[in-house]
Amino acid sequence: MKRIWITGDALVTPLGFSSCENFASLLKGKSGLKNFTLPVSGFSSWVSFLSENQLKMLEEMTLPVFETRFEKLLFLPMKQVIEECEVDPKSSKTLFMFATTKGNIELIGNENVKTNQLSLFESAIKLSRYFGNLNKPLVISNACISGLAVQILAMKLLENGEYDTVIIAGADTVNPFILEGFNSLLALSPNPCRPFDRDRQGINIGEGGAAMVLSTIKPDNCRNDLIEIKGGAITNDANHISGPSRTGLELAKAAELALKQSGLLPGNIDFVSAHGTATLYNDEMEAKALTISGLSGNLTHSLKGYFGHTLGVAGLIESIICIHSLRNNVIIASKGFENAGTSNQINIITQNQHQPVSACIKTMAGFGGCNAAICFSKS
Amino acid sequence: MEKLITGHCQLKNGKLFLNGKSLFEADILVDELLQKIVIEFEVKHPRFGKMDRLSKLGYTCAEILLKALGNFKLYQPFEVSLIFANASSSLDTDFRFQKTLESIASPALFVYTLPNLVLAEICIKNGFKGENLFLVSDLPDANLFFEPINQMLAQNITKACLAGWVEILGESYNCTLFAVEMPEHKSENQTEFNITNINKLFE
Repeated sequence: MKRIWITGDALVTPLGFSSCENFASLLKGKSGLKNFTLPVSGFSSWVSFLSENQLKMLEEMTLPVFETRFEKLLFLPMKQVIEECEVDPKSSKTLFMFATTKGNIELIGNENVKTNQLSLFESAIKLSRYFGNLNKPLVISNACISGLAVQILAMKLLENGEYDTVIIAGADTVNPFILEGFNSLLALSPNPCRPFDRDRQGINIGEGGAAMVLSTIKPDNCRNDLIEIKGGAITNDANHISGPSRTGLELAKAAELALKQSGLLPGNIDFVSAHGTATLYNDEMEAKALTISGLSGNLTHSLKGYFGHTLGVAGLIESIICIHSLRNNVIIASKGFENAGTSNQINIITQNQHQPVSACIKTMAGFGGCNAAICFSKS
Repeated sequence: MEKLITGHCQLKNGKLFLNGKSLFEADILVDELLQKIVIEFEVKHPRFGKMDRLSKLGYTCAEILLKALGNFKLYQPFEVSLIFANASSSLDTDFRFQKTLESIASPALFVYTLPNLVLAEICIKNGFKGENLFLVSDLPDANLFFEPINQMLAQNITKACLAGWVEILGESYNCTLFAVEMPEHKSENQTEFNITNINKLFE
């Protein structure tokens, strides 16, 4: 296996317009969740969305050609990583990859909108061509694991050497389509979400954009600790189209394979960045999976109480926070947790913990029964 | 062991092919076409009527292909991986769900507003628990599948892959699926797994 370094990362969310701003917000315990009444059904939930001011800022920081919220949320973090990192976006050895569930879905229902404006691939081409990359971009749309699946596929494509660098970008937005959809499934919480808590009532939706650079070329003069992506795996429950596995065996298998590929044991893992959507069934399944994987004693958090569930980009956003935890030697507290609420007990962290951090695992699960896990570690 | 394309199935322009042989032909609308094929080839599923059109299309072709490939039953659950791609993601269902927002949002439709649900339907029916990837591109192209499948098979967990293009938007559709395995002996109809041979399937 080739060694793969993470040579750049950027985040644009309601908690900040760079990775560092986002990480600083989390350290202070700030959340992007705001009370919000759904426009059609009138249901009142909590949602993490960009404020009017932030939207104006985003507008000013992006080019007019990127008209939609989705494309702006892709563009800004991509621009940041390309400007800040030693990466040549125009090189034929650089591949652009994208992760999203719904792309420009905010436009659906508008009479003046053409079908191709809703195409995920059209957005991907527009962004790659803007940055001067002539390779055909790859788009992953794998439900809520998209942000991890894209990294796992990037690892595969870097392996044979055709590309030495992958620039990954992802985004998903808050819009009536998504909010009313999750509400129709009775999945939204009327209160700020409480992952793994006894009184959890469901998910909060969030929006954001993220970019990450993966490279097989070791950066030489790096200001920060070098972080590697060590291994990753995807499995399917083969159980139910929208409900998670009853046993957690399949997510546990993904975690086991990711650890094995990384050459790590559960004892080497300083923390688990769980999916933790705060639905009854997801958190119950995940606690079972962590127990099977031998990770139930490891410090564990969910970041949904800060960002909400950002769908296809959640895996990227939460991975980037993992990377900053490794660099800064601090594990972020799980927001909204008070009382244990899963039949298998796991070790939820309720205060930020400053300690040496050398390796972590990020897990996710999504509709369609898909599961994914990735391990990151310091070089 | 050599990687081989051990079977392929295509439904396009009203014609159904299995391993290059024409199985069925009818110049009718796609929903009716799928209904006819499901009856003719005894493609069974208790929830078939509830699936969206993308899942119906992919599931039907997968079942016809898998029936011809007896071997897939012999693999362990985590040994079978799926990688599918298309151009329109789940847009066909997205439009249908969007319409329900005018009255009462349909949870049954919302669930299918993700393209990877077709993978889920195939996995649930057959107990496949390996890797799942859904890609979105402009056109069917061997490059979407070739290297990911090589890498999946190289990791020694996946032993067989079901892959292909499954696209539907309105009356425009194309489902072209193929299986990749590493059998001990090469038999008739099986071809080497390479870019040229995959692209031939998409013609």
